[in-house]
Amino acid sequence: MELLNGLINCLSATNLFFCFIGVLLGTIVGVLPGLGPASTIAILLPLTMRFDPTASIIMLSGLYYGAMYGGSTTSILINIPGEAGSVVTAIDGFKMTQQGRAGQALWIAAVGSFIAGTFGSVVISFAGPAIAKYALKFGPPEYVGLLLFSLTMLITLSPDKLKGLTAGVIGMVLATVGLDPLTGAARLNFGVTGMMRGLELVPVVVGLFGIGEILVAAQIGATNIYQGKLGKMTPRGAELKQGLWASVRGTLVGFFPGLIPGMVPALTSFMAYDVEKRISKYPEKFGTGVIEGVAGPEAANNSTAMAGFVPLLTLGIPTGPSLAIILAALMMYGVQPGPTLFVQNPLFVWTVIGSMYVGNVLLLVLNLPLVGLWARISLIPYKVLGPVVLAVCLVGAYSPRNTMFDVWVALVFGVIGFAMKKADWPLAPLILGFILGDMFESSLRQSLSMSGGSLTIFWQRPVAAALIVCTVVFAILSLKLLRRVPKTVLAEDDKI
Amino acid sequence: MKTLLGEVFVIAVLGILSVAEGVRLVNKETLQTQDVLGPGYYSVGVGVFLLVVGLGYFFSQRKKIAGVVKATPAAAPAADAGYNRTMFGMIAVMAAYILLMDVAGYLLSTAVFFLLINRIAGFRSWLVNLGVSALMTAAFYLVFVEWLGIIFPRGLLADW
Repeated sequence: MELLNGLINCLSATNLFFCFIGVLLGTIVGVLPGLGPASTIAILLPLTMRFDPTASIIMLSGLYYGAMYGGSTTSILINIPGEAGSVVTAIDGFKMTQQGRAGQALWIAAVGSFIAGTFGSVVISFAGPAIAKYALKFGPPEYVGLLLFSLTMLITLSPDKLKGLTAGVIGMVLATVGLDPLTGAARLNFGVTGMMRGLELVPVVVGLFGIGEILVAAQIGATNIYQGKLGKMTPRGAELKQGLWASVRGTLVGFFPGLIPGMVPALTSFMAYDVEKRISKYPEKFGTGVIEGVAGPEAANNSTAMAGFVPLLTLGIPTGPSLAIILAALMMYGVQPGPTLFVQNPLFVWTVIGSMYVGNVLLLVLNLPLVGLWARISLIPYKVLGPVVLAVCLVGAYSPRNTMFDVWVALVFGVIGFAMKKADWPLAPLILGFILGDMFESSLRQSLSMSGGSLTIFWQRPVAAALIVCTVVFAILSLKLLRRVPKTVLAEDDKI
Repeated sequence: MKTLLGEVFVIAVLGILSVAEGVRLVNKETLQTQDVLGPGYYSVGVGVFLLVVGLGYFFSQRKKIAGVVKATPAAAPAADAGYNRTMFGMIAVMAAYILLMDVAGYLLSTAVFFLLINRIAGFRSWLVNLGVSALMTAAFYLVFVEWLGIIFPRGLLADW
C-alpha cells in the first residue's frame, strides 16, 4: 500500500519530470568518459537545494543508476568505458561492434540493465521496511558499530589498501576543522574566520572530483572524437536467450555483494564476467564478441548500483562514492538518513523507491531508440565541456552557504584533487572519511559519555556488538575478494 | 622517491597539526564533565592514527620503489609543457575569477572568466570566443540568478 502511494506520488508532474531529468543526465554522464556520476551529483548537489527534497533525491538517484546504463554505450561503440562499471563490457562489446553487431550489444546492455534495475527496485521495496523495523533499537553505540562498518570501505576502495586508509583518515582529520559540534570548541581554524564554520562538504567534493577531473583532462590534452555506425538493433534466437539468461545471472551476482560497503559496480561487473566465463560451454570465445560477456557485467553493475540503495535508505550506509554524496544530500535536505527514515518520512522514502521502477522504464525508453544520439554526445570536446564544468563547480561551491570562502575551498581542493589523481591517490576514501568522521566522532563521544568512559558499552549492546563483529568479518571478506580482482579494474574505479 | 617524500610530508604535517590541536584542547577541557572523550582526545587519536598509517605507507612504498628501481630503471616520460600551461592557466583564471567577483560582481566577472577560460581551453579566434562566452554567460545568468535565485556578490563597482 505504501509502495502504491509512493508510485502515485512519483507519477506527479514534478516528480516525473525530475525523474526524467535525472535518468537523462545519468545517461549523458555515463556516455561521457571521464565525467562520473559522483562528480555530476556533487556538481548538481548545491543546485538541488533550491528544489523539493523528494524531487531532488529522485533526480540524483536517477542520475546514479542512469549512469550505469549510459556507461555501456561508449564501452561498446568506441572501447572507452564511460563508467568504471563498464570496463569489462568493453572487452566483448567492442568486439561485437567490430563485427557489425553494435546494435545487438547495446540492446542487450540496455535490457540487461533494465532487468537488474527492476529486480533491485523490487528487493528494495521488500527488504527496506524489513531492515527499518530495527530502527528504534539504534542508539549512539549502535551507530558507532554501523559507522565502523561503513569505514571498512576505506580499506576496500583502493587497490593500495594503505593509500585508501590514509586518504580516509586525512578526510577524518579535515572533518574536525571548525567548531566542535558537542562543545563548540574551535579546532584547526588557524584564526581564519571562514574556517570556524568548518569545511563544507560541497566545495570539497566539487573541487576534488569536478575541478580535479577537468584539470587532469587539460594537463593530458584529452579530447573525445569518434563517430561509429550502428548495425542491427536486436539479438535473435539462441543469442537472445543466452543474453537474457546472462542478464539474470549478472543481476544476482551483482546484487548481493552490492549490499557490502566497498563492493562498487566495477568490482561486481568483473565478478559477473568471471562467472559467465566459468559456466560457459565456450569460455575460450570470451573476448572475441560473446553476448554473455556484455549482458552479465552490464546487469551486474546496474544491480550493484540498485543494491547500494538498500543500506543507504535503511541504514544510512553509503556503499560507494556516488551514494556517499547522495547520503550527504539527504543530510543537507534535513532528511535523517538511516533506520528512522521509513518511520519519520514514509511518503518520501516510498516515493523515491517508486521512482526507481519508473526510472528504469524511462531508461529503457531512452536508451533503446536514442542510442545514436548518446554516442554523439560523447563527441563534445573538452574545450567546450571544460569551461562549463569549471563554472558550474565554482558557482556550485558558492551556493550552499553563499560565501566566497567556499569557492576558494573548491579551488584549493581542485588542485589537491588533481595532485591526488596524478599521484594515483583514491579520492573516494577521503570523501568517505570526511562524511563519516563527523558522525563517528559524535556517536563515539555520546556512547562514551553514556558509559562513563567505558568501552564495554559496545559489547553490552547486542546490535552494536554484532555490527562490530560484522565489520571485522566484512573487512576480511572484502580483502579476500579484492585479491581476486586485477588491480587495473580497481584503479579505473578510483579515477571516477 | 621525491613524490613519496612529498606525500609523507603532507601526511606528517596533517597528523602533527591534529595532535597539537588536540593537546591544546585537552589542556582546556577542565570544565567538561559530561563529555568524557572531548574534542581534544578525539583529535589526538585521529592525528596519531594518521601518523601511524602514514608511517606504514612510507615503509610499504619505499620497499616497492626499491624493487621497481632495481627491476626497470626507466626514465619518466617528459610532461607536455603546452598542456601544463593550459592546466596552470585554468587555475590562474579560476583564482582571478574569485578575486574579481568581489570587485566587479557576478555578471561581469563571469563574462571575463568565460572569455579567458575559453581562450585557454582552445577557442583561438577572439570573435568566436566572444560569441561563445556571451552565450555561456547569458545561460549561466538565466539558470543561476534568474531561475535558481542565487544571490551572488554585487561587487564594489555596483556601489559607485
